[in-house]
Amino acid sequence: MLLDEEVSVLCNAMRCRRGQRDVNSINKNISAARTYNTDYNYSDYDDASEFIHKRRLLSVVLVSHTGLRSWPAVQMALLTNLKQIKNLVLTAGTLGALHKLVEDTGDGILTMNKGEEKGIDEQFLKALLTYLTHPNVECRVMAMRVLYILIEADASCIMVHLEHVVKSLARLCADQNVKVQTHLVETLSGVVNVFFYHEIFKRGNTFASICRYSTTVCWVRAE
Amino acid sequence: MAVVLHGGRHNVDVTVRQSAGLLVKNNLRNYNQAQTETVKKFALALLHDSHHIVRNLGGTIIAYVIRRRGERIV
Repeated sequence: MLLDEEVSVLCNAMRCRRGQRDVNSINKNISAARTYNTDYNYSDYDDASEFIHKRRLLSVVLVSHTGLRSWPAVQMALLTNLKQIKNLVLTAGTLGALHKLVEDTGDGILTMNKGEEKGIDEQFLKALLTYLTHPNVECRVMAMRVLYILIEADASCIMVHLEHVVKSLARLCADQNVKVQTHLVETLSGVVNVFFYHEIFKRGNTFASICRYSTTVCWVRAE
Repeated sequence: MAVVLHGGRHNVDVTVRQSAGLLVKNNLRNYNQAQTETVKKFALALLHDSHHIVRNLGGTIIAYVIRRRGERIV
């Protein structure tokens, strides 16, 4: 059962997460969410899981967005750390922190200061793609795990640079590490799910062959 | 927080450092603004610790601070 008001609140909250609304709109949506929380209760739902899922989704979006705004310095700190590619210890820690943040906030951490500094999400993406060729396995895997969540979260920077992302992932097909291969298949399957109808598939079978190749490598390894 | 941050140099066991860090994280709701700011600063410093458990702890604290702040505002 979906009430029109609920759909509207959810959609607006999702738009806020993508950084498409200003602060006033976010506050308006927080008020709407408060009304939603007080006006609708469990008895309105036939299925408890639907109620829990919707409330959790709404809460996560609002909480993460406001939480990030309360600590704007964290974005630049993480980006600066990511750029110090030669400092293995620091970058491993930063990628771990970034992974936890994107798990909680989707692409919120990338887009939070987008209005003030242009292209900051692209700087993050560029840094992440650099780590796909990093000599350290853990860094490659961590970068892929972050990318996977961003793909799942429908991050705008991924949409814009999809071809570049796929090409960077494709270079990992020759990677001999099983852990990397496993995460590569997972990440590629994320791309397939999200961008199944994207124009990249109209250009030929390149992507399909990447998938086939990586799957074959995993099968060979598993045997 | 001193145990978490500087324990490595004084041969404090990593599990002790981890426990101290988790204690800080779990008590965050009782801290005032200045104390929270200090924890935030230290959490970023934990990201370049030589031990991966402590680095992970830094990430956990950062994510928790953001979630917690968001909950309080909303």
